[in-house]
Amino acid sequence: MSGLTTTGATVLSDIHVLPKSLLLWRAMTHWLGGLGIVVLFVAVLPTLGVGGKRLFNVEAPGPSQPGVKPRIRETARMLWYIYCGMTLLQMLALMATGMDLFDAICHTFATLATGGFSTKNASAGAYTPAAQIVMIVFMVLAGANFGLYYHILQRQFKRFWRDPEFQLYLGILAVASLIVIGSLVGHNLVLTDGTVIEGSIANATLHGVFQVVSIQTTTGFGTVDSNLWSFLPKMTLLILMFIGGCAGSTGGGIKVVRILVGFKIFKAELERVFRPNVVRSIKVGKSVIDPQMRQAVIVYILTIMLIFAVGTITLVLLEQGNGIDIITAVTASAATLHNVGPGFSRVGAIENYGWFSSPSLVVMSLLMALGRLEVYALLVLFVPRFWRKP
Amino acid sequence: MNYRFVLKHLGLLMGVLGASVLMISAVDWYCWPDRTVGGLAGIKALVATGLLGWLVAVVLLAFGRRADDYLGRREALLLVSISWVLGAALSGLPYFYGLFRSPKQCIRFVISMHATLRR
Repeated sequence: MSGLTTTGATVLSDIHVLPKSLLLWRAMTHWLGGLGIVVLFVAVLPTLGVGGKRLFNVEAPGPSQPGVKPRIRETARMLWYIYCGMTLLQMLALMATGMDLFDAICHTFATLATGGFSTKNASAGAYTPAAQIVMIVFMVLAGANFGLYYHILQRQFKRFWRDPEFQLYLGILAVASLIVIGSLVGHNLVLTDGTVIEGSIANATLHGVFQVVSIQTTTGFGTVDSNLWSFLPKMTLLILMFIGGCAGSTGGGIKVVRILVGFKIFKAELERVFRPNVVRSIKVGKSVIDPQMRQAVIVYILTIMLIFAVGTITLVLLEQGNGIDIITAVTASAATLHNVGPGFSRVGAIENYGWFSSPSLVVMSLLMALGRLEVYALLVLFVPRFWRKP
Repeated sequence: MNYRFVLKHLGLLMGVLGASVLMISAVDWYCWPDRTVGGLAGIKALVATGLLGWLVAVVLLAFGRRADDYLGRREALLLVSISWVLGAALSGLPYFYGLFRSPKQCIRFVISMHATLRR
């Protein structure tokens, strides 16, 4: 479940012992799950017809959006072409930094799907800074709406840069990076392979930006042991886990557009306190958010927070015998629900999930599936009326 | 609910996933040959998973062979959620298979499971 949902949480402590065939399959599960296995179907199956749109909307991450092409099958195909094109590009870029073909393939699959499975115990920390920079670039690209790349192919660069969600996404990445870099400068950094390096501006920038991008895009690669950081950068990363990538990306989390709409609703409600008669429409870019969409966004955010809380409490109850601490429970619940992978404390960047009991692993698998399918697709199966004739 | 349609497409999905597993094992066999015990076990696990995926696909396709092409909202929800659960189960099978490299280990596992359930 961790591979296919692109969570990247592992129960394996020593990845080196796995044969290459299984490592390749592990990475492949990320790649297949990244854009969605059913979206692949919509792209290739002619029999789906109008139903394809329903399937697409159920599986595609983020609030339902208009397709970039008039027919949903063409949209799905176009998304897969872009995905494959970016895969090829990243693979070549990683090989240009000196990475061998096998590692380049596995890390490309894990980066573009925002998964996070590595072929090395030290994760991305086992590679050169050049390779890490390539990964940062492609993680940022994978966390953005894939529909935007279609506009680039159409040479509509303004539509790409003026997209409000993309602007906010880059803004959050920039602000969070500055906070983390500022906290790391002057402190020693412990890399994922155990090496200690000094917190120079260059080192803090590379590892700070890498960690911020990795967590916000919900990839989960690590170059440093973020578990040893102070409160502020750790809290920043935890908040980023909840925000996640853009709608229509391969990333998890609540999604930047929902956060944007949520804040606009909050602002409008705040104004209503002292101007009760004012009626203002809520807009994202040029499009007005209708009341139904507003309600859907608020309900989604509340549901996610409720599931997160229930997940945390369940993990605490199930792992009492294992001496679980609250930070581990909170971040394990958040990291699996938002498909990030690593959390903090006993599920930190150089730790794994292997010590959890089987019932907890089942709970976290469920959280991963709920997060990847954005809750409703899975929860409706437990509603008795869903199974009755309409 | 158009169950036949859902079964038919779940069958297609399992077929595609099974083919992906077999493709990965073929690529690995030719590009990064590892003829050690561990390497061969990995290939065996993948081939077994791929073949099992195809077997499940055939069964599901047989059940859904006379499906009409109606896909409503409920069918879409069911198909997507079950696809992910089945897909995850098949994807995890190679690791599970790795646990039972010998028939003895498999039998021991079944006996201990049986004993646990009876308790």
